[in-house]
Amino acid sequence: MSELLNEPLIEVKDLRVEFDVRAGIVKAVDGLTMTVNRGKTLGIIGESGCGKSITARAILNMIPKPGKITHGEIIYYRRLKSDGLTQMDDIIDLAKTDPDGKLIRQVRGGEIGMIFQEPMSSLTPVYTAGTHINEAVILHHLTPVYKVGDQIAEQVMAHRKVTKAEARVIAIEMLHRVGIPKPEQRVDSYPHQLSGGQRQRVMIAIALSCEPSMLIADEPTTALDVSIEAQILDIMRDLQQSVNMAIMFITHNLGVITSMAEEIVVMYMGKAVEQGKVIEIFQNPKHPYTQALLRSIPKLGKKTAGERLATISGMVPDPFNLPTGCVFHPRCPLFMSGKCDKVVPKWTKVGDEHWASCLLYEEE
Amino acid sequence: MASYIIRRVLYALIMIVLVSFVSFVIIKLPPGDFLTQKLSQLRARGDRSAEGQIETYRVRYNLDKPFLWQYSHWAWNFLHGDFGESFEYERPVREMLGERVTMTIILGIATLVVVWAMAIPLGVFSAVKQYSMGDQIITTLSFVGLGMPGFLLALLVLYFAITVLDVEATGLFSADYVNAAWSWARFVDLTNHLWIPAFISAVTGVGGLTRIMRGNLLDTLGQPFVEAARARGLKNGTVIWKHAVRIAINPLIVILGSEAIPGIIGGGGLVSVVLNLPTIFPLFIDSLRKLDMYMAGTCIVLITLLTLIGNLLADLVLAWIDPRIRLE
Amino acid sequence: MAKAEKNETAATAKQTQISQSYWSLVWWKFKRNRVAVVGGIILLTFYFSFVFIPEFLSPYKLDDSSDYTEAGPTRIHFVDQEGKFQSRPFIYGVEKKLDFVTRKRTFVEDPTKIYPIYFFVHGDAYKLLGFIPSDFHLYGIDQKNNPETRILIMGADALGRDWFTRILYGGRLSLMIGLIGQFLTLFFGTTLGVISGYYGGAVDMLIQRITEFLNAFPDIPLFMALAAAIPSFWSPIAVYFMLTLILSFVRWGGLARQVRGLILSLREREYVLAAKSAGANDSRLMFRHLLPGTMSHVVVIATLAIPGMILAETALSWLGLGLRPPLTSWGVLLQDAATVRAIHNTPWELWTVPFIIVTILAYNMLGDGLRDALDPYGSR
Repeated sequence: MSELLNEPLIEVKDLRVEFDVRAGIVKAVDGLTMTVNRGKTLGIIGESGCGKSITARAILNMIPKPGKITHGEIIYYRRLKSDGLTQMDDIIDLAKTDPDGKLIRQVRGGEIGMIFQEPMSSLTPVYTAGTHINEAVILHHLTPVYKVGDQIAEQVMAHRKVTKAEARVIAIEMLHRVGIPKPEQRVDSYPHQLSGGQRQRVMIAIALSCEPSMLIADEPTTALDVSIEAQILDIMRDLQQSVNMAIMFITHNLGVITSMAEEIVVMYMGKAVEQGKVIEIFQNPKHPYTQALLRSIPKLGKKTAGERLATISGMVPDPFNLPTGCVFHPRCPLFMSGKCDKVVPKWTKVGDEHWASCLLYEEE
Repeated sequence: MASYIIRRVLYALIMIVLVSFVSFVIIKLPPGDFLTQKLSQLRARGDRSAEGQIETYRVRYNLDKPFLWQYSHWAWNFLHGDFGESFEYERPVREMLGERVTMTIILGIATLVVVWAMAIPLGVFSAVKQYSMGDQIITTLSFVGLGMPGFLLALLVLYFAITVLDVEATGLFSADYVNAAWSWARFVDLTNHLWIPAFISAVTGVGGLTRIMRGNLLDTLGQPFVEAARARGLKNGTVIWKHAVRIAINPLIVILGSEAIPGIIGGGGLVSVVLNLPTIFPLFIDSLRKLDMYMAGTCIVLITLLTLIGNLLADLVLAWIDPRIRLE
Repeated sequence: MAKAEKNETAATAKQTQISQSYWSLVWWKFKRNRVAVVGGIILLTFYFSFVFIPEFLSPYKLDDSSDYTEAGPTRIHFVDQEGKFQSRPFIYGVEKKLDFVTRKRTFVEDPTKIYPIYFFVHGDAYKLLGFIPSDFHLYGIDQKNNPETRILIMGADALGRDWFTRILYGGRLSLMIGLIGQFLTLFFGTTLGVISGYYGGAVDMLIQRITEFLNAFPDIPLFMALAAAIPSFWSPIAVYFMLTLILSFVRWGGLARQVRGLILSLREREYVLAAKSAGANDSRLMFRHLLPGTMSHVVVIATLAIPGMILAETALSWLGLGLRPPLTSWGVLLQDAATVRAIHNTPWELWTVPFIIVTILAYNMLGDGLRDALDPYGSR
């Protein structure tokens, strides 16, 4: 992993995703801005329904119906060529791609992989683990072809698709790398013959088989046992280092995120409320929502007798009827009457690589 | 897998034995039999030797033996391919049914092919384009088709064919070709007749299946593995056909075995009575009316047999395409 | 997994709210489904017209034969010979003629004889609902002074009987056989299903095997064989009830299976344990606590099964294996109507078919709406 300057891979700018349902319009993501850097891990944290998963799907331009990206950009710095000397990037706005077009399909799976919350049902029940990996590999994995007999100094390199036999070798190799025992046999196993942890390993193998520049992990360990969870996280960390890819790690588990991410974004009701380095945010949270979230984690070793675990007061607001001003104001312990319920807070720098959107930190 | 097949086959065999026995009991239920009917007919005609004739028949058809003897004798012969003799026609049942059994199977398979070839694409289209104009038209039509009783529709089509098109639409061949050898002209004649049963089976069979296919696919499209397949960069068509439809079709095969095949055989039977098609059914109904015991018994066993074989095939197909069942 | 959770909460919500609010929610959802409401209205109209007031709706008695043998539908005129529009529609008298070429009887209108059509006209006396004496008929001509003339809006059969009247009365038997038969099916099916699901063990095993056997038997052939076994010398009423019994006997298997499945899942619920610990005995538990939980499913299954029952009667009677004349049902009418000869000579007798089809469709519309409405928390 390079400790060089941060180099952006994905920049989400003022993204809005709306669901036009019968009862009205739900703003699932409402003006989200954030950046994922090449080779780094960005954690996204928030309660269920805050728009984390929708953001992940927006990046792959696969928002389920009746949802739609109504505003904003998702800039993807696509690396076309990098041989140590020259480097060529292409800049694509993923939000504007045709959702079933060739371009986005090359990105999906080939350049941005994704793993899901429910390993139990994320594999098609009638296909073997190998078939799943092959599907991705045959689509995206290109093998360089050296033209023999070409005497020109400049090496001409062409690409071709891998054959089925090659794909199978790759599949077994990937299963081996994600720590599945006896991969030569497991490659022919059907999903129902695998355990939950094994299935998630297969999902990771599929996602990583084409060496993507980013992996989106949407609560990948929520449905797993704690011991399995630790193993899966280990595998993801190891593989990240070996292939230098970025990870967008979505979770509602504050414990998991500290061990995975360098930087985190805290989301509330479709908005980013705070972003910064993990240590910075945990030690010095700025936004009242982040502060409340952190207070709700039980702490070991602290004297807890007679002390109740803090909760965030109030209810998650009705998505059809969002509060005015700052969406968190009805639940905020630091609510400033006449201000928070009127003015929408701006994205403000509150420290070194640390931003928050709260009126407390906005200069008059 | 092998034990699964053996279990299913054994089950089917037991069912056949039970069905044939119960059918025999049912046919024996009403007081009197074919011969008492015949006797009163002969008497009415003033035939003095009636009693004597009837007695010879009684011996010839084993009707003087006890019930269980009759059944086991007939069942034993059935296994050897001798289905007994029709009282009504005084000919072996096997000879009379032979071609009709083939025709029943051909019509059944043709119906299945027509229905599935139409229902699955329509259901997929309807689900993928949910709430679109096309979906609404398909949904409405399939609802109407679902409730449409085949034999009544057959009557209406027959009316239409006779009064508007002025064609005799019954049977599978025109009078000139019924007993003719196969030729191009005979084939054309057959297709001229076949469109009516094909149309009726399409209208009545496609509706229900389309609805089920649509519902299943809508459920399946919401499953995580569909989203995961899309996230691997597969084409929309591949995601839908290779992943979603492949799963959504499994319950359809269960329905094929448990409802569609009996429906096609039973419902198609009524249609074939209206259209006078050469299937087992018209003979079966006739034999029931006349208490033509061996004929009726053979028909009911054959119909059940076809149904059970259909069920069995559906089970096997399901096991073949679904590893969750195959590898149990 | 999230979906399973949702179903679970929906199921428990349904359980707790099965009182007033559940049914009002069902009613509210049902009312919004226009197709289902239309189906319901059609059925109410049909049942009311055919079961209760056919005597009033038709100008003739069921078996009034006349000289109008195989006469086509009477033409109703609004414009007379001079081209003047009449506010009261009228029909002409007819004269029978024999076409010597085709050997067919035809009826030719005689424009000199004009019979106006009246509504709420006095005609044959009858007892409405069996006890209200009346001689009003919805429509008709002045029958008392013109006993020979007929108004036949759907033609006549070979005995000159008004076909519309026959459809009305035929509907009475056909519609009732669906209801009564389904009621018996419900009775057999739920009772055996509840017992099977509640007791389990050997009883369950036995009932399961019987239903499996009934299911393995192809429906329609079994109907036919059983119906053919009804002795031909029985009285029509006995045949009618026997046929109803047969229809429900063949059909209870599927219902029993579904009820059993529901009971098996309900049996494990806490409220059953609570009732048990309160000292409720088996039958009370089964029929007071478990059965109500299956009601909404049963209603839907029953509604969607009635058309099958009506059709079974129609098909059997049409094939001559079910009801027989002098009983009149839609199936019996089809015996006359559904032959190639009849389609050539008396195609108007096929009017029976649309009535049957509309009934079947209306039941499906209603049942489909009920299924959606009874699951008000369901997504689809």
